[in-house]
Amino acid sequence: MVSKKKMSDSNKINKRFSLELKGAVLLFLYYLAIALVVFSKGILSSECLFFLGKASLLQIPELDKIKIFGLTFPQVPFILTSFTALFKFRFGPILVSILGTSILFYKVTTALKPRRFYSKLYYCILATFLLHPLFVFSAISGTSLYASLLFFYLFIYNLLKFLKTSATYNVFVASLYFSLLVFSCHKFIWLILLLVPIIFLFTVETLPIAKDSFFNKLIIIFNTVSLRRRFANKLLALNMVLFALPLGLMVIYRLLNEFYTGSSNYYLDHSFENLFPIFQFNDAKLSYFKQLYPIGFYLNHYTLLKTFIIAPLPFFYLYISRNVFLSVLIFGVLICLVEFLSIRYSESFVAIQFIAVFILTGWALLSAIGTYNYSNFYSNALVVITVLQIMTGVFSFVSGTIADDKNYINALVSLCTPEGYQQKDDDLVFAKFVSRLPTNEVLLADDDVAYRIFAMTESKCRVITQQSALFTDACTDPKQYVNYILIPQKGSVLEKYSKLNHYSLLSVNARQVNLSEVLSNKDWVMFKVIK
Amino acid sequence: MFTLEYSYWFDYMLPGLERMSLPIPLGGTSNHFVTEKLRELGKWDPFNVTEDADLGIRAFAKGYKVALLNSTTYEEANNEYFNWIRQRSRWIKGYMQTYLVHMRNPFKLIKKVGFKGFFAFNFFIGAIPVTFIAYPILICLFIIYLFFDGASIKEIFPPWVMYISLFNFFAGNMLIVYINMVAVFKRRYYGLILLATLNPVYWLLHSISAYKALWQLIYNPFYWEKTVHGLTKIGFKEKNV
Repeated sequence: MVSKKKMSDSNKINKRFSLELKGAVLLFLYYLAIALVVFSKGILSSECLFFLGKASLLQIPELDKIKIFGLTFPQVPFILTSFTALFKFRFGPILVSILGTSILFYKVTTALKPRRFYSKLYYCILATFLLHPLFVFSAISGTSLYASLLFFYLFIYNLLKFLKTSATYNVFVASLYFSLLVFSCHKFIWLILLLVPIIFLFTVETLPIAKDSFFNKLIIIFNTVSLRRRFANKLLALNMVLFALPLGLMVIYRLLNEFYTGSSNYYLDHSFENLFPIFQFNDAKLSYFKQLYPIGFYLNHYTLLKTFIIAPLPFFYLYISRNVFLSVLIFGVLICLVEFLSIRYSESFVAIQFIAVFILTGWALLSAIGTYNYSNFYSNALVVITVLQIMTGVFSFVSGTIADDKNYINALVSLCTPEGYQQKDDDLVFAKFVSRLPTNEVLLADDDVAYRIFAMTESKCRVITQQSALFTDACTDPKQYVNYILIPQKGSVLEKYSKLNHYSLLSVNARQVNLSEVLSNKDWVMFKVIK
Repeated sequence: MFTLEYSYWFDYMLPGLERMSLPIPLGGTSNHFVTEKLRELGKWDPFNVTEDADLGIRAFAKGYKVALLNSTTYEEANNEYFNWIRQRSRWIKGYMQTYLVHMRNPFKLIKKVGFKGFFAFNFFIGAIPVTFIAYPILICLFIIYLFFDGASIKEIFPPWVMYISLFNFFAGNMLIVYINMVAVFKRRYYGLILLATLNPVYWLLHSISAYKALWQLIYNPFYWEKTVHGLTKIGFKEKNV
C-alpha cells in the first residue's frame, strides 16, 4: 500500500516536471518565433547592439581585449552573450535572452509545491509569460533584463526559503545569486541596506528564548550578557554570509577598475563600458518626453502607481498573505527599494526590472513560504487579476516613454495588422556603407558611441578606435593612417560623448587635410580623407 | 583557525570530491576499511608520512569508491605554534611524497585514474605544496608592485598578465575566505566567522611549514615529525589550578 502511494506520488512529480518542461520548451519556441519576425524587421534594442558592438571589437587584433572583456558592464549578461556574438551571430544575444526567460519560467513553476489549484496557478504564470509585455520584452530584446529577472528570482526564493527553514545551503546559494544579480544590474546593491532590518528581525526570532512577543525577546537579549553575545555573533555571521560575497566582489571589481584605468567608477561613468552615461535623461530630454507622452511621463515618476498598474497581481498576493509577517515585510522592502532608486537616481526613470521584481517576489513567496489558504474565490480572482495585469502591462508599455520598449511594442502590435511595421534605422545605412569598404581601407571612429554601427556592420576593413594605440596619431595626422572618418553630427546627442567630433576636425583642417563628406544623417557624418 | 580549516575540509571539500567522483585523500583520524580490501591495496606505505592520502589515491586507482559518513570526529586543535608547524610540515611533506610517488610515470597514472582523476590529483595533491611555497614570493612581488613602483616587474609581465594575476589574487583569496565563513556558519560557530578574514595570514604559516617540508623531503624524507597531543588539556588544567 505504502509503495503504491509512493509510486503514485513520484508519478505525479514526474508528470508535473514534464508539464513544466513542456511549458518552458513551448515558451522558448514561441519567443523564438516572435523574435525572428521582429529581428527580420531590423529591430534591435540599444543594449543588444551595445553587446554586439563590444563583442565585434574583441575581434580587432590591436585592441585591448582585457579592457573590453573585463570592464564592459553589465558583466554577466555581456559574458553570456559575447560568446555567441564572437561568431558575428547577430541573433546571439536574443537567443540567450530567450533561453534565460524560458529558464526563469521553468524555475518559477518547478519551485511551486503541489497545492490546490496548482494547474490554475500554472496556467496563470504561463499566460503572464506568454502575453505580459514585460516578459516578452525580456525574452526577445536581447538586453540584460532576463539576467536581472532570473537572478533576482533565484536570490529572493532562496532567501525566503532560508528565512523559513534556516538551511545553510539556501543562504549560501542566495548570496551567490545576489552576486550575479549585482553584476547584471548594479542598482540592486542597494537592496543590502533594506534587507539588514529583516536579518535583524530574523535573528531575534530564531534565538531560542521562551517568549512570544518580539519586544520581550529583544529586552531579554539586550539584558543578558550571553544572549547578547550570541545575538551579535549570529547577526554579524548572517550578514557576512549573505552580503560579504557580493560586496567583496564589487569592491574587487572597483579595485581592478582603479588599477587598470585609474578610476574605480570607470565601469559606470565611462560610456565605453556602459550604456548608462549615454542614456541618462537630461533636462532637455525630460521636457521633450513630457510634451510627447504626457501620461507615460507622469506615470514614470510615480513609481508605486506605475508598479501597481504594470503588476497588480503581487498586491493581491500581499492581500491574501497579510497574516504572514515576512511577506508583508518583503513587499515593504521592495516598495522602499523602488522609491529609494527614484530619489537616488532622479535623473533617470526606475528601470522596468524593478517593477518586475514585484511579480517575481509574489511567485517566490508562494513557493517558499506557501502558507496561503486558497479558497475557490481567491483562485478565480487570481485568474481575473492575471488577465487584468496583462492588459495594464500592455497599456503601460504603449504609453511608456522608453524608445526601445515602444519599438518592440509597435512591432508586436504590427504582427496583428496587415500593413506590418518596418523599422527605419538610420545607422543601418552607415553600417551598410562600412560593410562595403574594401579590406585595405582604414576607418577612424570612436567606439564609445559608434557601437550601433559596429554591431550592424559585417565589414572586413580595418578600424582605428579609441582603444587602439594608433588613435591619437590617426586623429592628428589622418592623411597618413586612415581613409575615412566617422563622427557624430553637429548638435546630436552623441556629440558630447565622442572623442571625435567637429571640434577635433577643426584641428585636422588646420593641418590642411582635405575631407569630403560622403554620407550624413541626423546623427552621423562620414568623411573621406582625400590623399 | 583550526576549526575553520577542518569545517571547510570535511564539510565542503571532501564531500565535493566525493560528489564529483574524484580521488579523495583520506582524512587521518577516522577511516574504516574492509580488511581484505586494505590488504589487496597493499596496506599503508610505511615510508609515506601521509599514508592515508596515498591510500586514498591507490583505492581510486583500483576502482574503489571512498564514501563519506555523515558524522563528526572531534579532534584536538593544535594550539601551540611550533607544534603546529611540525604537524603541518609532516602533512605537506607527505603530499609531496605522494605526488612524487604517483607521478613517477604520469602516463601510467592517467591509465589508472583517468584524465579526470589525473587532473584532480594534480590540483588537490600536487598543487597544494606548490601554492604554499609560491605564496610568500607572490605576496612579496605584489607588495613591491604596490608600494615601490615595481617598474622592473611591469617590464617582466605584460599588462594582461598583471590584470589576470590581480583578479586571481583578489577574487581567489576572497572566495576561499568566504567558503571558510560558510563552513563554520553551517556548524553554527557564529563567533568564528570574522576570524576567516585572517586566513591569508594563516596561509603564511603554512608557507613556513611548506619550506620546512621541502627541506626535509631532500635531507630527511622519511622522518616522522611528531605532534604533541593533549596540549589543550594541559592548558585547561593550568588555568583551573
